[in-house]
Amino acid sequence: MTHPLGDDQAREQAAFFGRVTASVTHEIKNHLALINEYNGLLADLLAAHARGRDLDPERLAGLSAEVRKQVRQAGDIVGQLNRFAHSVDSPAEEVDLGELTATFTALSARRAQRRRIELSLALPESAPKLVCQPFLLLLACHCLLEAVLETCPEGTRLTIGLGGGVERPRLVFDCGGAGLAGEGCLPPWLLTNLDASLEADSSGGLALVLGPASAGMAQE
Amino acid sequence: MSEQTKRILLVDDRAEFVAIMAERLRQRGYEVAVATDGPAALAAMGRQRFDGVVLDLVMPGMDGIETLTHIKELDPTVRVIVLTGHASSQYVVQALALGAADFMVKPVDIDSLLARLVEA
Repeated sequence: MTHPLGDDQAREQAAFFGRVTASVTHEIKNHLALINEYNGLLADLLAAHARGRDLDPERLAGLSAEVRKQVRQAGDIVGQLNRFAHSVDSPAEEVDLGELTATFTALSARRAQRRRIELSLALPESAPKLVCQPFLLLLACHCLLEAVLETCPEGTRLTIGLGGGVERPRLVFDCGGAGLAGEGCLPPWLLTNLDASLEADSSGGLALVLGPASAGMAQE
Repeated sequence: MSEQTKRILLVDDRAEFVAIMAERLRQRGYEVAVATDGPAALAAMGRQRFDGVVLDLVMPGMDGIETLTHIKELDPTVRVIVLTGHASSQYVVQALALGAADFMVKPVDIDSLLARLVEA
C-alpha cells in the first residue's frame, strides 16, 4: 500500500520522529540513572548510619536537592517531547516561531552535544507566528541542523536565531561566523509545503526563510 | 576479576553520574578511577591496570564501541561491562563481539553491576 504522502516522505517523517524520540528518551534515561544513583547513595548513607556512622544533615539536604533538580530537568524534557508529539495533531495551525524554535533546540541539544557542539537560542522579545504544520517545520529545522552539524567545528557554539520580521521570518543557524554548508539538505517537497527556501545568511550561517507570518507579532 | 583485585575504571560522559557511582563503589572498598570520554579512559588504562571497566556507549567524540576496541587492544583480559541508556541490539552484538563481558541498561543496581564485574 502506498502512503498518501508518498513512501519517501512518509519514511523521512517516521525516521525523524524516531530519531527525536530515541534521543530524548535516552536523555530521560540519563536523568533516571542519576536519580537512581542519588537514591542509592542515600540508602548507602542510611545503611552506614545503621552501622554507627554519623549522618551529615547538610549532605542529605544536598542529595535531596540534586534529586529535585534531576526530576525537574527530566520533567522539562518530557514536556518538550509531549509538545513534539502533539506537533502532528493538525495539518495546519498557527505556530509561534519562538516557542517552536525553543522546543526544537531543547529536543536537539543532546544530539548536538554528541558532536561537542553547544546549542543556544537567540530569540526576539516577541516572535512572529506562522500557519503551517509544526511537525514539518521541526523536520525542516532537523534536516538543516544535521547538515550544519557536519560543517560546524567541534567545540563551538551553534546559535539558532529568529529574524526577518513578519514578512519573511528567518530561522538562522549561525556557528560563530563559520561558513556552513547545507545545500540540498531540505527535500523539495518539504520546502514547497512550508513555502520556504534556504539561503546563506550574512553572518556566514544558513537561513531557512519562511512564508509570510500569519498574525503579526506574538503577544507576550 | 579476582577477589584480591579491586580497581575499577568508570567511563561515562556524564561527570555527575560517574562521580556518584565512584563514591558508592569506593564505599564498597573498590579503588575507582573515572573518565568522561574515550581518550581519557585510554590514558587511564595506560597509567595503570584495571580489573574491571564500566563503559558508556554513547559519548561525544570517540564513542563506546571505538573506546572498547582500544581498551581491548591495551588489555585483552580486562572485564568490560557496557552500560548505556538504551539497549540497541546492534550495539549489544557489536560490543559483545569486541569482547565486552556483559551489557546493562541504565538505571542499574550497583550491586548487580558489581556482581557482573566480579563474575569470573
